Amino acid sequence: MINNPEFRRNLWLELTPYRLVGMPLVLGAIFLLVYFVNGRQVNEQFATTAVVFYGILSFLWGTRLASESVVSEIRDHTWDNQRMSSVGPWEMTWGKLLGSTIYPWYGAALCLLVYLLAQDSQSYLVHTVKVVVLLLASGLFSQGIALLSSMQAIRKDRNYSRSQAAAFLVLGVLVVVPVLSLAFDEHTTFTWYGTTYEGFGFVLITLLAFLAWTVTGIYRLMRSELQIQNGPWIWLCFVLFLMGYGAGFVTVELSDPTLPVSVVRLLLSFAIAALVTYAMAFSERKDPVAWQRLLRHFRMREWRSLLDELPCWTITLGVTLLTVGFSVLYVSLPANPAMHGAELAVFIVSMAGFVLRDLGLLLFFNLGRNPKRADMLTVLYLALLYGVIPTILAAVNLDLLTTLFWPRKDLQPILGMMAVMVEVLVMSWLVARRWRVNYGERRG
Amino acid sequence: MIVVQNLVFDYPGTRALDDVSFAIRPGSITALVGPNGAGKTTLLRTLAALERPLAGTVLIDGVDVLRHPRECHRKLGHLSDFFGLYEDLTVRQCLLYTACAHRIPPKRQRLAVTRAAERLGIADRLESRAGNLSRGLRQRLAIAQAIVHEPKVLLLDEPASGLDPEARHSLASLFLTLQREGMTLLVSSHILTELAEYSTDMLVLKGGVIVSQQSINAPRTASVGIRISLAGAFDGIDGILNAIGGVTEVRLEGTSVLFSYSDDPLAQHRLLKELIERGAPVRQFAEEQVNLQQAYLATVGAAQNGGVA
Repeated sequence: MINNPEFRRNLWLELTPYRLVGMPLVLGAIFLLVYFVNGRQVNEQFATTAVVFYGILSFLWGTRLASESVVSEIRDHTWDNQRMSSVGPWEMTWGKLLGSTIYPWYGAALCLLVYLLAQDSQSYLVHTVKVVVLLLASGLFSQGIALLSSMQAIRKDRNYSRSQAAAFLVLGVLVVVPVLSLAFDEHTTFTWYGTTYEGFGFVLITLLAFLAWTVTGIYRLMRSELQIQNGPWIWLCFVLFLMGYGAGFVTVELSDPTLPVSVVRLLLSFAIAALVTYAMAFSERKDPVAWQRLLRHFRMREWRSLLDELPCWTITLGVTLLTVGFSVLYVSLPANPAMHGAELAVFIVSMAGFVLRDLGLLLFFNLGRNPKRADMLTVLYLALLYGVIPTILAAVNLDLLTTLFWPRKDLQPILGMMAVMVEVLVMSWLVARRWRVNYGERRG
Repeated sequence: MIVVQNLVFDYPGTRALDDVSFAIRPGSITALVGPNGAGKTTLLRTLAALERPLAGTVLIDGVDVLRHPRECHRKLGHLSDFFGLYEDLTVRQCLLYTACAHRIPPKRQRLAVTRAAERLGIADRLESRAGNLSRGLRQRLAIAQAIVHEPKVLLLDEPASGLDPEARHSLASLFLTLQREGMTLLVSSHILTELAEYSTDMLVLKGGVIVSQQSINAPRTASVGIRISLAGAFDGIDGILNAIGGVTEVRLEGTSVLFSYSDDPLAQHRLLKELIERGAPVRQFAEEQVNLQQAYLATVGAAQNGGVA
């Protein structure tokens, strides 16, 4: 790691002699104060204080620095120099993740040391080690999410002020809140694919898995920044992992008594894929130039380049539609015990139709002449379509018309499906027309 | 050294580079000129693999920039028009970091840092913080960072902006030194007089299209430009010149005539003798150096009139 240029640069900047001395002095004074307040005892309360300060240093300060590490380079016009260096994406990932946060980690490590020293019983050694691993992984996860989200954001828009970058800090902190609360709740257990697991161990393994995916995500974005193409496979694996992980939580008790667990797992997988599609569609750049490049690859039959440059949301949309197709087949099988299989199939297709319509709306606004606030405009329209208008219709007893705005299983499902398909067709025509008018004249 | 073929770059709704093709020979200093918004910065950033074009190919020393960007970065140095420095690092640390980031072996890093600092005249500032440097010294440090790994190609976007005349002159000397050492330079600038000091070639970009590529102050070829000034009007001077073998591109400018002819001194002496014998009132006869500003204005003017020089 010490040979990593980015890490070394951060060491020069962050670990100056004054700062190296300052951190133990400040922490030492705080712990001394706690020691005296605590009746000159090094007990559990003392250990808790160490964990709290670990949290402040790692989850707050470290996450803030991680969220700023690339954004500030862009702001200070030094990022292009880094992009033009020979530092590889893997080195850059760790150089940024550990390098920019090295000073808070220095303090956090001291806190963990105090936490370990405050443990008095040999019998809890395994648990203590597990807690330390969980705290370290949570810190890295929080910082990783902040860095990942900031890097995803700069792919869309390069200019972020300090206050805007605070959103990445908030996101980084938010993701560790459930992790820590679930891990330290002694009564929590998880039933996953029919097996019940003890809470702490399950959360720890889940955390390590998601941390690995976070680092992989940063690595992929770093590759993109360094102009190295990413294939679609890693992203595909992540989406499938997410679907498989989420579907595991469906148990017999959770599911609708009229539906078998397998069907609910399929539906949940579809919902996860659809949610990830929405998330990526909104967070990725919907650049007409990128579409032109994709069309060009398609026309030139450059399949490898086409796959390399496909936006993640289109790959996820493909997975979503495949899940829909598989779910429809599965629930329609005569041997399948699913109740009202045909109705369910219609409902699933309707939901997929709404996803397509919404994405069409998003593309339509983004292909406008001035697409700066297109995503925000789409959110506004979706709020109207899913919230305000159906509520008004329901209020004036025009419940049937709400099928135009909501996938409804209880009310004329076939009519609803036909309505949403018409919406999809209209949206597709509008998108195609806007493309032709604004960008179609040039064929790259 | 740099080969660009059919390069197309679009910003949403705007074509910044339109089917751009050109080649730059090794060891040359090419002035990239053109009006604001011509696409100069976009071209430089695309050559540096910082931006991805819609179509086209860019080869740097035979390596495809789009396919192997990292390999190209080892051969390239780039100075952006809006460059940044790590303000809290010393000049030595800035250069050491760049050397390290460019994979210069640890044993050679110190030497590379010293060499780059000496070339840019900042060897006495190695322990100063980058944030404390003046505008000119910052510019020099940025250029030192761009050349610390001895790239084969150096791309510079407005390298002299904000520099005083003395610093500009020393920058020109540095570029000529780098060229003599075998480096190929592509320099974008608005200051044509500065470019004229060191450029060997000129690439004119206008509206995303290459309008012209020509040699400026190139080593002498068999043919040179000659200007004769006449003491007064003399009808038929162009006819006389066109009738002499070897004279081409005759152009009248008031009482002056410009044309191309052999660079052989004896041939030029014979030409002058013949003109005087035919009664032409020649009062001045001299080789004409192509002036970058004139060449640029003539090229852009020709492009505006619908032609391409």
